[in-house]
Amino acid sequence: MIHATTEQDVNVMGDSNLQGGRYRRINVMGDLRMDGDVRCLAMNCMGDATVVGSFQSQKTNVMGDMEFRGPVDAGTLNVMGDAKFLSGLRARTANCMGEIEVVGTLNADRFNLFGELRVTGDCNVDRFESRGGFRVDGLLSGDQLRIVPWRSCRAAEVGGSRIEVRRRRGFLGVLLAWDSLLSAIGLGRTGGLLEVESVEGDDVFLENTAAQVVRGKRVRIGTGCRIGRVEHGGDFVRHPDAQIGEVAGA
Amino acid sequence: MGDDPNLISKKELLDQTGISYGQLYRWKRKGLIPEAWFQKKSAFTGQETFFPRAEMLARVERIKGMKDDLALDDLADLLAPAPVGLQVGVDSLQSRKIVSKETLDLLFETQPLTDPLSFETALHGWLVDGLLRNGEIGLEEGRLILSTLAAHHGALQDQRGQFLFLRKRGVGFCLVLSGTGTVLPDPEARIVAQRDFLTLVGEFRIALSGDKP
Repeated sequence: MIHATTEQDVNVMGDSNLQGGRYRRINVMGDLRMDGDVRCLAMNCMGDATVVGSFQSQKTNVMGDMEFRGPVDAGTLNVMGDAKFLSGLRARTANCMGEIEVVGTLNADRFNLFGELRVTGDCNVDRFESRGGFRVDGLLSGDQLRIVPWRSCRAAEVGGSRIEVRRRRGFLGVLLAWDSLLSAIGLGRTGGLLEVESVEGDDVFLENTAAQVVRGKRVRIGTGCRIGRVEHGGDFVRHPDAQIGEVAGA
Repeated sequence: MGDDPNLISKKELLDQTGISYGQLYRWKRKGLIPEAWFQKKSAFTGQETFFPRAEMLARVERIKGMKDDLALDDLADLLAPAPVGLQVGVDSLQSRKIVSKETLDLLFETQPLTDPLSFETALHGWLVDGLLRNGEIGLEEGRLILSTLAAHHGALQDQRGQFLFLRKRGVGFCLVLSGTGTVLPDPEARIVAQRDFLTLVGEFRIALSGDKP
């Protein structure tokens, strides 16, 4: 067991335990279990780590596997491995190229998703950009949401100021070839689909989206959409391909 | 859709107050509007969200009143649902008359003096202060509530709990519920005060953000 007397750096190569407390940098290359509440300037995990209490850091890099059982304020969060947050997550900027699972609510100023995200509660992000896959059981809310669905993306509700869902474009030969390969095995060249019960925003642009209701001031429904009902504030454009049940204007 | 005159639909709210979806969702994210006010009901157009009319209109006006962007950002920092570490200075509570000196004294009788206070402790102080001020409870009962709340300080974490104060034949006692169920007390007992933490947190945040010194 490592005890912290003053704020210090901790490097773990083997298998160890760490007491809660304040630290500067914690570098984990082996296996570390932290009991109690941990505060640090930076956490780098290339191995396996578990935090049992609450966790607060300016910078959190997870390249290995991490599990946080208490509430977390991760600062700038980069996940290239696998991170599980069992009591919610708060971050300033989060970049996910691996997998993030949040039990509870996710709050962040910015979230860039290239990997996979799973949130059991609400996902509150001022700017959310996704080219990955996600499943949010509650509300996905943000000022700006830009989503390029990959495989299946789901949220119960999406709400915010500007919401943009675009299909992946095969703008290069390579991508076109890749797309046709995908369609050959049944995944289609249209990319992923966003499935959601309702979308509400001031500016809504949708492609490849299946939704029961879309409400917005300015609504544009593009190709690849299946929408049950659109309610708009006077500005509405639809793609001829889009399947729309009913439309109600202001 | 207006079956219940006490509720206002989201659409009606936006039309009536002139706010946008973006603003509404932003305020929700910042914790300025309590989660419990968002009530889903099915309408003929699919699911719709309703709010308690009077409270919601008052809250929107309140937020619009202090809405220059910088203040809102400050507020956002203050209100961000920081799971760890949001703190409130004792001085600012007192000087801004959010919690009275008497209640703060009471608070420090029940627990060791710290300054700044954790958000949760400050909230407990604020709750008791309100009850004392309305004359719903006496000082001794205030002390009882503060120590009960301190003993169950985790209850606020998920913000789904409730606080109750009951009195039977002049003897007061306090309950902290960790869910939202209904309480059916002994018919002789009277529920003096009942608050859910979610609303409390929202109101306390507004109080904190309201009148900056």
